[in-house]
Amino acid sequence: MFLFHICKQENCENYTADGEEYCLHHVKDPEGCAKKLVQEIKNSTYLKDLNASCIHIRDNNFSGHTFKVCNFSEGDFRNVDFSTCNIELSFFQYSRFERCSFRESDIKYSVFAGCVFEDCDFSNSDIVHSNFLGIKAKNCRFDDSDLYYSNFTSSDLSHVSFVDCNLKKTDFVNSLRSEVSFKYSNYEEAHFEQDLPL
Amino acid sequence: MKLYFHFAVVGFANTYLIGPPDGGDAILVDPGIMDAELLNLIEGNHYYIRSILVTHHHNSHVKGIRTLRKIYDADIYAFHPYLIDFPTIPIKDGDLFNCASDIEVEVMEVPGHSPDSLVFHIGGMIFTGDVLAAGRVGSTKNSFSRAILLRSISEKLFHLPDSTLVLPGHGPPSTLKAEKMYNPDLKLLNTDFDQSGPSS
Repeated sequence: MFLFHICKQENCENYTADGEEYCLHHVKDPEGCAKKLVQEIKNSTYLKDLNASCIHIRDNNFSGHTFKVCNFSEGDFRNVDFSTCNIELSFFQYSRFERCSFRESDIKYSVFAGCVFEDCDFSNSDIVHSNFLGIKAKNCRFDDSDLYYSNFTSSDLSHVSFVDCNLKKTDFVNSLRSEVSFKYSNYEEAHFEQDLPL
Repeated sequence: MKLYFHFAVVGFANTYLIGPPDGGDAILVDPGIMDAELLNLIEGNHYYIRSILVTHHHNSHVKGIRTLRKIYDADIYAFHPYLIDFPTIPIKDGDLFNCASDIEVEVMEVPGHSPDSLVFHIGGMIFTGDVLAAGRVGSTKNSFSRAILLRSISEKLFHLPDSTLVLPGHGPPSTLKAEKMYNPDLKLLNTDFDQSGPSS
């Protein structure tokens, strides 16, 4: 279990980069440190306790990787392939994803709260017990996925499809939905209002 | 310190196993059920359950204790002095103690969902039981209890760092910052918070 160490720079609330005392913005060589982290992710298919908060990654393929207890919060990911990945108890909150694929991935106990997703594909995935609070998603697909106990409360969803999904115990409370499709999904088992007590 | 999740299909509740990286004495938070899967998780990682922390007395959080106590000689830490016929080590707001493998636990009373609701602060994590979950706060019997719950959350939890990991009794994990920003039940408590998030 990684610990949330905060950057030593005064007034900075970002998390430290892996093995560093400062965040990716305040380490001595930000570019070199980011490159080193990307290389580390590319070289290993099984990553555990990795802290890569604030990282920017473009045009990379991490398909088939396992991310266990990793921290990618406040990152920026463009055209990154996470398909068939195994993501467990990992943190991507306040990150931006553009043209990223999570197809056929297995995601559980992970946090994507406050993320922005554009043109992302989560089709054919198991995305259970995961937190999508307050996300902004545009042109995204979750088709044929199991979203059991995942939470989209306060999200803003535009042109997002949840076709043929398992939505049992999935929360959409307080969400804005425009052109969202739940075709063939058990949306009657999802929560759209705060009606069920804990 | 290592953290493991276990999902109990009875009551749809989360149980958390916390212990040192290489096995040894460990803590269980809210054992809602004791099944073969949880036993494998404990034994497979070479743990011995020395302490059981109970956030509140509801069945989906304590039902596994009977079976657990037949296997492990574990101390039960709870608000009440007795829990399903077992004596406990009663704990209250502000208590700070070390239990299994010297792991430090801070206790916060956050009543409202139930009078005995406790939150455990361990490292950068809070185990919130039914006080606070991703996107919602615990149910209450009336508006008075709800007011108490919201005030207690504000007073006891909001001063913790935003990066604090929220591990609820039900549903996915979260962070305190995400709850302050997006939990509709908490928005009224937190009107000054920056809700801009990443630019779209």
